[in-house]
Amino acid sequence: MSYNWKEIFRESAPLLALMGFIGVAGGFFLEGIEDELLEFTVLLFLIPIINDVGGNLGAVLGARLCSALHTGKIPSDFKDKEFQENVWVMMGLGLFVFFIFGLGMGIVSFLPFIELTFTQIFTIVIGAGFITTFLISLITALVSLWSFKKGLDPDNIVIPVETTLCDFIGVVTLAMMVILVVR
Amino acid sequence: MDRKRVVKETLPMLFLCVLAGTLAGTVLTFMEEVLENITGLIIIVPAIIDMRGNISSALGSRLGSAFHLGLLHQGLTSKVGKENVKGSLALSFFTSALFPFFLLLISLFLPFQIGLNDLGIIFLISVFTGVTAGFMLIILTFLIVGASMKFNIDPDNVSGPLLTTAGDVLTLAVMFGYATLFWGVLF
Repeated sequence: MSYNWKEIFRESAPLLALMGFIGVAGGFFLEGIEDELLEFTVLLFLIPIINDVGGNLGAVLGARLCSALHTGKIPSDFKDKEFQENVWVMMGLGLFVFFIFGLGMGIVSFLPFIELTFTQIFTIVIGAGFITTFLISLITALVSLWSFKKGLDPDNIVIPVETTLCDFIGVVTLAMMVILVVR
Repeated sequence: MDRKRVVKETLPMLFLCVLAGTLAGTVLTFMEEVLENITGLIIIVPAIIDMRGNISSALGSRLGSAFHLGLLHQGLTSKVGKENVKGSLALSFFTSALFPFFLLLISLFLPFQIGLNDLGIIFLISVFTGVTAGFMLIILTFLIVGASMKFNIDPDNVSGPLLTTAGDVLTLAVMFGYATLFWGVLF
């Protein structure tokens, strides 16, 4: 393995451009549903945090898998025990963080301008957080394996794909949970 | 695989990023006036922030792999480090220059008008913010990976969360600076 800046650029630039385009399009989408978002102030707090935590879980899992694949510590096989353990531990971490975060955000419900109850906020955070954690861990694992098998450097691919998808998944699962819990 | 180590090293970082996420939200509220003045800027703010996070976390991830491969034994300023820096800088410039065009392209399909003046100022803000914040984040990535190596922490467990978190706050602050500057000078 050797590093060359042109190769890094060549592998990353098209992907980052695509992810950037999806990001800008996502911005328009958010602008479009702004009224619905503003109806529940608490959503504005939740969106960035769920996207960040989900994205970071994927980033840590991705970085770990990439190193392990590069060094040959784990084979590029989804059935490998060590590979799966990495995924399970990250899912466990996600569940724990979202549980604590759900309790913490639940307390926000006691503020006068928040229109949801403790149980409602807790359920929304837990539901959206758990689904996001599960999907992101799975996507990260699959993309790491796929890109490594394709002969690309997964370090260049996994994090951009995973964070962009996480932003989308985070907003959709939150919106879904709000509709389920509130309406 | 050392489960305890992953939990011990990653968990505090995840909680830290929840706190810093709130801080980033606060910086954004300061920017409200500039954001209202420049039509279209708010739409690419999340994309610009995410892109900084993507470029620096990918750099962190590559350096993490290089570390585990034993390629960093000559230190971070060796050829491996330099090539990685050049790659990240080139990507920062390239992606920041693209955003205004994406904005223009997508706005063509929507009942949403962005004037040429606004688009020009967004181009300046995007490129200057991208390169400045990109450069600062590259230095930060090296500091984080260097410190992890020194304190015997696996860089893979900490660099992602630390970089995206610091990246959010840093990028917003730099963007706020340039937006205010360009708005003040040009209008």
